[in-house]
Parts: sequence; structure tokens; C-alpha cells
Amino acid sequence: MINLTVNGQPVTVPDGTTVLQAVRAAGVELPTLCYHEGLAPYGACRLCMVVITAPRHALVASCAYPVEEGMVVETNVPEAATARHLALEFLLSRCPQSDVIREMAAKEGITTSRFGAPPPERADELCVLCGLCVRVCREAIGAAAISFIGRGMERRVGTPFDVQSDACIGCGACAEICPTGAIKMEDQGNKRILHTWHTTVELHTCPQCGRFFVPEPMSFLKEMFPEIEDLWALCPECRQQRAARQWIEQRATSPV
Amino acid sequence: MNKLEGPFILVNPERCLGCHTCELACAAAHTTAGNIIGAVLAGEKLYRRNRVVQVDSVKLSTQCRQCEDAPCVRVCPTGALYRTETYTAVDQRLCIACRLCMMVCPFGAIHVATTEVAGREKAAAFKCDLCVDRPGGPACVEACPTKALSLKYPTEVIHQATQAAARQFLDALESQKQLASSQ
Ligand code: SF4
Ligand code: SF4
Ligand code: SF4
Ligand code: FES
Repeated sequence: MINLTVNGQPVTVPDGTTVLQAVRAAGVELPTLCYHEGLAPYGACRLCMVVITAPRHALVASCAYPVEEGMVVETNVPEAATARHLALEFLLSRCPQSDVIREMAAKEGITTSRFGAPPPERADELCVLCGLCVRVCREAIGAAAISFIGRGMERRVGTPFDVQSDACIGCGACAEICPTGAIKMEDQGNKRILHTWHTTVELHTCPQCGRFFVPEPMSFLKEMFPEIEDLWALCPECRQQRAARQWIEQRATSPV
Repeated sequence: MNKLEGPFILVNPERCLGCHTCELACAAAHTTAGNIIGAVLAGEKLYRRNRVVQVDSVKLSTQCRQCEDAPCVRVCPTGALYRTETYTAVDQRLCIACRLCMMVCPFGAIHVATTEVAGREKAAAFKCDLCVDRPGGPACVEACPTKALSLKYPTEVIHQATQAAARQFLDALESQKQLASSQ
């Protein structure tokens, strides 16, 4: 275990914890955008900046910085607050239409940005380039269907050449993880459409109730899990039904 | 059927009224308040991990079977779904809502819904965790008015099955004896 202080308050956390986790363990609030507990730290949005005064003085992205014994962390000193405010102003100038960003900024007292407004063609931009979608798809799902495209002001996320992705399995994790709701996904009949990725995947029909459920590109799971092969396309409700029926039958033949 | 090692919830369909009390108890047990009135007063959302289904005229509750070699645990890419020696559960902070676990659960025991995790709105997987953090054990078992639910250890089930089989065998033997003496 590691002992440190956050805003003067002592906390003890397991080895390998990040400063952000220690800060939250101490009950101190800190905004984050590109951080997700289930993915590797990335340190892109700079919202989680804090100042460390011991063992050495540093301004760090807390989500990607490991704790050390005797560390002294300050989240509210001017140096830390200024860094966070700068990050918020950048975000606000990129995505002035995002409610999430506006709310986050307002919480820290930021309502305008010194960096101006986006060009007209990107006035509705919601993507803050946090990279969560790219990372979840590559790191967790292993599909790597989407990536960063372009540089500087042109930087954005998308599928290669902005056409239908053959790698996308239609899981929707990208749309779920996006902090600003920039990824548009919709189910239409037996189609799941990922508008932002110009990608459509087919959904299987549940043979019992006719609802659409399993995306076709997830069929590889059948090979990984032979135990589900014969109930593959069944929706969860129909699987419950099936399990219940089996249980009733099992009890009838061998009473427990 | 998957090999089972830890305890699981056993339902006796002959006793289940289909009253949904277990669902409510489950949802309430997993709130911060820990009970239904407190949860409603605090405006907490209620999510059940079990579900009462109807098969022909029979009603019964269904939930996670606590598979030992759980497909959901094996498929989960972030380690959000984990297995201890005796139960499987989900750490919603790690969940990315990819729904792979839903796709591979043979019992349809997992669902994904939007909830508040560590102060943030997010979609995450829900499943029965046998109320491991609840001092009184599974809330559904405690709440069922007809005692249709019980927390069973597989060895107990096997033991009872063995006893039942032994009884049948003895009964058969008995009747054979009677047959023999009557001849
Ligand atoms: S829906 Fe497609 S692009 Fe999005 S995370 Fe899943 S596989 Fe990747
Ligand atoms: S689309 Fe969403 S998740 Fe992806 S980089 Fe942009 S803001 Fe982040
Ligand atoms: S939905 Fe959550 S718990 Fe289920 S497999 Fe995906 S990350 Fe794991
Ligand atoms: S949350 Fe730490 S840099 Fe984005």
C-alpha cells in the first residue's frame, strides 16, 4: 500500500494506483474526459491536471501518473486550476455545441473561450478527440475498425476512407463510451446503422419472438463458445424462457 | 450444462406464484439505500437482476446460474465480469457496454442498461451477484413469500439427488421383497 496526501488529506491506496484514482478515493472531485476505468490511461484531454509538490514539483495528468510513497497532491492550487481551465477553453472552442462540454466548463466557471469559435463547416462538432472510441474498439474489442485521421485542425475519427468497415462487429461500444454523444448509432429493423462510421451491420432475428438481436459479425462467438451454438440467435428473454423450460423438465425427470 | 461449484439460486416452480416480489427485492437490495422506500425517496433507479418468466402455465424466476467456467467472464474484454471462488459479478466501472456477455450467456441472465456509476451516467451490464455485499444473503430468497427460492450449494443438490435416488432404490427393493413374499 502507498500513503500519500490529497489536498492535505491522507489516503492509502494499493500499489499501481494512478493519482486520479487516489484523488477520487480521497473523495475529491476532478473532471475527466478521456479516462475510462476499463481502458489503459491515455492522457489526452488534460482535464485531470493536478500539481504534485513532493517528492518533486510537477504539473501532471493525474489519470496517467502513478502514485508514489509520500506523494503530496494538490488539485486546487492556481497552477492546476489554470491548466484545467486552459484545457476547457480549448474544448469549448472546438465543441461549443456540446452540452457535456459546456456543463463541464461552467462547473469550473468557464463560459467563454479565448480561442474563438470553430469554422462554419465544423460548427456542430461534438467530437473532442478523446480517443475513447478508437481505443475501446482497438484495445478492448480488438476490431480496430476506426482510427484517428488527419492532423492538426483536420484531425478527426473515422473508418479508413470513410466507407463501410468490414472490421466493425456492430457492438456499439464506441457509441456507448463516447462522452459527448458524437457517435450516431441506430437500429432500423434488421439493420444496425453506425452513421458516423458509414457502416451498417445485419442483425439476426430471434427465431422465437422475431425481435432483432445478435449482430451478424459477432458470429465468431459461436466458435469460441460451443455451448451457445444451438441458442445463438435467441434473444435474452427467449434464452431465459428456454432455460426455465429446461429446468421444469429436468425437475420432472429427476426431482431435486 | 456448465459445471457448477459455488452456490446458486434454486427455484421451485411449484411454489412460485409469479408475484415478482423477488424482482423488487433484488432491485432494492442493489440500491445505495438498500431498501425500496429509501431508494424511491432518494430517486434512485431500480434494476432487477432476475426475472420472473412464464412457461405454459408455470411461473418461475430466472437468474444467473453462477457457472464455474462462465462464458461471460471469458468473453469480457475489460475484466469487468469476474469470478471469485464462489460467484461471478460485474464491476460496472470497468464495463464498456459492448454486450458481448449478453450474447454468450446461455441463460439470458445479463442485460445492459444506463445507470449511474461512480457519479456518472453510463451504460453497463447487470447480473445477479448473489447479493454478496448484503449481510442477510440473497434478497430474493429472503423476500419470496412462498419460499420458492433457496440458495443452494451444488454438493447439497447432489446430496439430495443421491438421497432421492437411494429412496427410490429402497422403495423398489421393498416392493420387490413384498412381491417375493407374496409369491
Ligand atoms: S461498433 Fe464497430 S466501430 Fe464501434 S467499437 Fe464496436 S466494432 Fe468498433
Ligand atoms: S467520437 Fe466521441 S469517443 Fe470518439 S474521439 Fe470523438 S469524442 Fe471521443
Ligand atoms: S458489456 Fe461490460 S461486462 Fe459485458 S462483456 Fe462488455 S465490458 Fe464486459
Ligand atoms: S482524463 Fe486525464 S488527460 Fe483526459
